[in-house]
Amino acid sequence: MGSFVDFQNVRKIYRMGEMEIPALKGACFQIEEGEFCVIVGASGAGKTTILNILGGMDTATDGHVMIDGQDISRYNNKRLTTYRRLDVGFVFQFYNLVQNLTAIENVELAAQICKNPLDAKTVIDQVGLSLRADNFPAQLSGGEQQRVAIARALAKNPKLLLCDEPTGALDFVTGKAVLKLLQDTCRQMKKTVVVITHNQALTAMADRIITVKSGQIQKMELNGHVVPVEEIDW
Amino acid sequence: MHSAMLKTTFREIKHSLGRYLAILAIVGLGVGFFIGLKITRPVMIATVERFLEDQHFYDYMLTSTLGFTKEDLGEFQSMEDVERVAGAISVDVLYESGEDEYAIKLHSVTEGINECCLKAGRMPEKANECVVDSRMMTKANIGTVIRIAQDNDEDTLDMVAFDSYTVVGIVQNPLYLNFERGTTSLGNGQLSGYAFLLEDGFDSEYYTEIYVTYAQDFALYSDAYEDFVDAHEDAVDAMTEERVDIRYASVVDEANERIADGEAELADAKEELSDNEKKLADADREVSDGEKKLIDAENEIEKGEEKLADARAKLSDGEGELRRNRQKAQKEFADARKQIADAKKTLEENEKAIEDGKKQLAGGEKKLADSERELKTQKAGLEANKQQIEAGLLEIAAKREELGELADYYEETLAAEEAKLNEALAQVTAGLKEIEAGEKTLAASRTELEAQKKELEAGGQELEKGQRELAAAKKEYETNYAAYKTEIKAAEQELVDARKEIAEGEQELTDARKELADGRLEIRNAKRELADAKEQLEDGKEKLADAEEELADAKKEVADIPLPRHYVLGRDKNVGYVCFESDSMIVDNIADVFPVFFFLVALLVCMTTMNRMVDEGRTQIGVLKALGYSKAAIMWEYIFYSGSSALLGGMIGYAVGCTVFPYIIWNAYGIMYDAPGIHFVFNGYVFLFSLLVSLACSVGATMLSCYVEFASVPASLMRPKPPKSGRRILLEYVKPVWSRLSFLQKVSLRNILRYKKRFLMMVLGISGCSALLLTGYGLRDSIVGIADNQYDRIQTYDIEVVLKDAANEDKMEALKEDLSEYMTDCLFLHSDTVDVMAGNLTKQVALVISPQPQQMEAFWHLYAPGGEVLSYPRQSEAVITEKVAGKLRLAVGDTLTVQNDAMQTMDVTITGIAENYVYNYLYISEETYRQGFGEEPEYKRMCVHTPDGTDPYRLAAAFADHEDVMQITVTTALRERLNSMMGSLDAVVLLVIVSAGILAFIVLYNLTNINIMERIREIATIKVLGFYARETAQYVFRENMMLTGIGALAGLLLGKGLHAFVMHKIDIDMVFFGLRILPKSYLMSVVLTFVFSLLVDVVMYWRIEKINMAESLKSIE
Repeated sequence: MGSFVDFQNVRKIYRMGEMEIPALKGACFQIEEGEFCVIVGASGAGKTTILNILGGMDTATDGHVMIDGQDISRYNNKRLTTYRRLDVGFVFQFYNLVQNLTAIENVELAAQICKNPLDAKTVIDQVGLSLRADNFPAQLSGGEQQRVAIARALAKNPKLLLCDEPTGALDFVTGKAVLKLLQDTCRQMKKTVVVITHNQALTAMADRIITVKSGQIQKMELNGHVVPVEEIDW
Repeated sequence: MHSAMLKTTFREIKHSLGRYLAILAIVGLGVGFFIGLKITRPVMIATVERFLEDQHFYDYMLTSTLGFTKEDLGEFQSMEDVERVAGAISVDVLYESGEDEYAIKLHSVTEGINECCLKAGRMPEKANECVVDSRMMTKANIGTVIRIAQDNDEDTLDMVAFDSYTVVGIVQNPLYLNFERGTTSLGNGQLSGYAFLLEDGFDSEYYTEIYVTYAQDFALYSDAYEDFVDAHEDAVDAMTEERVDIRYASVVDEANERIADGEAELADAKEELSDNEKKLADADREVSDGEKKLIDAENEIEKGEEKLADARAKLSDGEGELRRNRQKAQKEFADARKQIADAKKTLEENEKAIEDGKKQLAGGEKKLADSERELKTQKAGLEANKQQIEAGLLEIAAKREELGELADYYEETLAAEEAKLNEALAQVTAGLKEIEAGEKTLAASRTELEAQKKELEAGGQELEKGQRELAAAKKEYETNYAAYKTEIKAAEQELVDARKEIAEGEQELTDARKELADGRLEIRNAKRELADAKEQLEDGKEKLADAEEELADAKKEVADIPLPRHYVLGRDKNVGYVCFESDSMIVDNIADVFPVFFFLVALLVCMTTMNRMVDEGRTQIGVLKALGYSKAAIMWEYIFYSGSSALLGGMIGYAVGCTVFPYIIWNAYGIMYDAPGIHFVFNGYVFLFSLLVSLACSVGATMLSCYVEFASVPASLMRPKPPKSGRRILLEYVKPVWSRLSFLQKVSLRNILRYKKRFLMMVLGISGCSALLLTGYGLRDSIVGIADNQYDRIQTYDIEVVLKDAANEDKMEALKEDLSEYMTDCLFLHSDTVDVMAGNLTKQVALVISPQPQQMEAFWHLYAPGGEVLSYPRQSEAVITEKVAGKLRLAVGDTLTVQNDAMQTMDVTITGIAENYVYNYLYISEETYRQGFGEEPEYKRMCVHTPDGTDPYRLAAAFADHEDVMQITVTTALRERLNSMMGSLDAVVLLVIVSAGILAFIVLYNLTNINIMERIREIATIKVLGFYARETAQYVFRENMMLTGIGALAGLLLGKGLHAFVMHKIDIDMVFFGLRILPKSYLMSVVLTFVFSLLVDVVMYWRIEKINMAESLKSIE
């Protein structure tokens, strides 16, 4: 039995008319179940492509992407959707909350399409937004919004939690709080969390650090010395 | 504009072609619809105007009860402004078509006024040719013959010069602009068409009407035209009156003259009659004389016959006697002849003997002579004795004288003898002495001789005597015979005569008989003639009486000649002309309502689109502003975008609206109106106006959006615009409802209400669509419903029969019996046209009376508009139909005045208002009619139910064969005719439906497009969250569906109102359009609206599919 996530020589080429832009040039890495993994790289290194492929939002041009033993690189659109629906939870840089839904409703939006969703209220409580549950996103601060987003991702009870620059739009303190939440979630709920960021500082708190550069995995290392979020500084 | 700006603008257009086209389309639709509806009437008017102008439609039509003469024309021609005057003849006649007779109006062709527009064939060239109504016949009928029915009344037949007319052409005439051909007193009261003949085709001394055109060039139906024509009316009216008065005088004079002539004739006739009477009496007498004579003649003939018989008897007697006499006489004569012959023989023998004796004597004489010679010598001696003998002779002479004449005969001889004797004696005496001896012998011989001689002489004498006797006998015989012969001859002659006479008598008799027979015959003939003559005389008398009466009548008539009435009729009295104005008005009225929608929607579409576009361009605006471009320059891009789109759309819309709309509507109207090809009109003002409006919509909306954006400083512009925040909606506070809704429904509901502007627009657009649909369908329902309602619910009979004469009860029974084979039941009705009046409003309606109101149920239903059955009106009551009630503003309980042809009036109380769709009816009872108008209703109309499963047309033919039947109308045919006429509106309905569809599509497409663009992040996120394509689409489209539902419901309300409004605008006199919209139509409108909406969804589905999930990762612009 392989790893929970297994990228096997994944290549991704974008076609822009005549031009072919290789975004991934045979990336290989593994993530074990329950790990807090940070994929780090500079802008344009290919980390978003990895996220897209990993999240089932895009397909690899070549290679295999094994998630929990399933090769999602061979999935069609519909199966990919099902994969996203049941197995992946997303946290976006800009939260991407539905503006017209309250915090709890945003959570419900995700929860209601899953097989074993968590109770929305419980999740909201978990992320510490019990009091703001009935507020619309516009009425929430960025950090609160990102918590809602995390709650939304968690409510689906996914196998994999993918976070795209979760702190990118947040200030330092709030960012930290959000990261703490993610890390706690990983630990407490035994979720595999993948955080994609350009912020090297975050690698300190990761169980596994994957460094991407120019469409290739430059380095994949296990962090022997995991630093609690509170102690990270950037 | 700066070239770089221009480039971005064009790129923008290319990039967002859908949006650009949406603006273009909605503006085009709005402009097209507006222009289309607005221009349709002008186009219709222009088309008709051109037609009327080309055919020189009249301005005034003058009619008079007495007609006009040629002289009148000149008078009118000389009037001010008059361009042309034409006298025309027209007459309604029945013509034969198969077994039926139809009424047709014959017109004379008028040069330069109301000219026919030839559709096929040619114009008439001969007096017995005609051109015919294009609605009555087609090109294929050219060459057929229109036969004038001989049962037209005499006046009508007198008007037409021929029995039949050959169709040589098919025409349209401006006098008959719309399909209605008018009514007539003939046949079924409906003219089936018209025909134009040459004036020579008529046989009329006068014109029935005069048409006048003015030299004017005012627009059709314009006030200027009305004013112009009105201004001339008085003059025309006065002239008409004058001419009519003159005509009246001449007509009266002529009539009086004729009466005078008639009177003179009558007097002559009377005289003649009395002469004839006298003659007749004479003849009578003559005849009786003749008879008497005849009897006399007969008597005479009888007598004649008797006489003839006598004569014949006498004749045969005479003949017998004659025969006998002749026999006897012949015998006697034969005897006599024998005696004579015997006597002759004896005489001859005696003669011979005498001859012999003479011969002997001669011998003796010779001897004697010898002796004498001897004695001669002695003679001398005897001469001396001579004197003595002479003296003795003298003595004898004396003695002879003494004897007289009596002795003459014998004396002569005797004398001679004596002389001789004397001489001889003397000689003998002288010689006696000498020859005494010889003398003695001689004397003895002589004595002997002498004895002999004497004897001979005696024999001679005797012979002579015998001869004489014979001669006498012969003579006597001959005399007798001759006498006998004469006698016989006479007798024969007599007999011949008698025979001849008899023959003649017979001939005469025969002749007389013949004459008698002839006479008798003559008398008989004479008698007959006499009888005839008498009869004729009687006739003559009668005729004379008639003539007198007629003359009296004529006098009375002349006295009664109504003062002539004249009419000056403008175009506004021409049905087609008037109907066309009001019908074309309908379109115009609709044009006032519909486009408002479209422009409103177009405005909203432009606004949201441009708003969105400007929103999207925030960053660019900020950059440009930061680069130092002026506001105007930046705005120009957007203005150019929306402006060019609107202009293009407007122009396309104008082009399409100007042509397609009028074309479709005109074609639909073409079923009702006769005018050749459409004449498109392009109205610059309307074009400019609609372009301005569309520009105002697009550019105005753009500028508004721009100004809002431009208020921001460049820096804030370059930051993403915060998404519109969510808000609770009112419904959320209604917990019982809210909590029951599914989560996604809640989301959709909240989304719907999130963007108020968009919501409003969606609902407006969609409701407009379904309202249009409903109006379109409703229009058709109301119209189609006419035939269905009228013939399924109200007049449910199958065939209507018009009888030649009114039927009484016996006749009704007889008819029922005769036709029982073809019908299950029938109803007799009185039907008539009357005017109904209330207040100062008047309307013409058909009066219907049923003798058996209870029977009417099965044929003709009276329903109140609500559906409940109305009872048949009783005495002084009436039921009227809905339309009349509406027009005269009457309600149940009001009083209505009814006026008939004879201008009699009666008041009735309205007890019911009946549902009715075709024609207008007034129902009253028999008694009401009888009392009101003082006459009996005439039951000439018969409504018939045919047996199930039979072909009504076939039965109709069977009815038509019946001698009492004049005309047949099959309900199905009526219905088909009505439906085909109304079917024309289907085109309009289709137009409306298509427009509605386009409207719905554009609005939905555009708004959905904007919606998706605005929420692209959200949708991408949802996709990332693992919503299936269908779910994602639903997430977006559920809102569309809800809005469509709301819009459709609103549209139904709106549509109902619009439908009512449109129906109110469409007002046709004879037809009542119920405000009927079938449930099916409501359903269809909603379904179609959803179909359009789904169509948009299908298109949009692919758009959603194409949304890249990576969008969700992008930063907010």
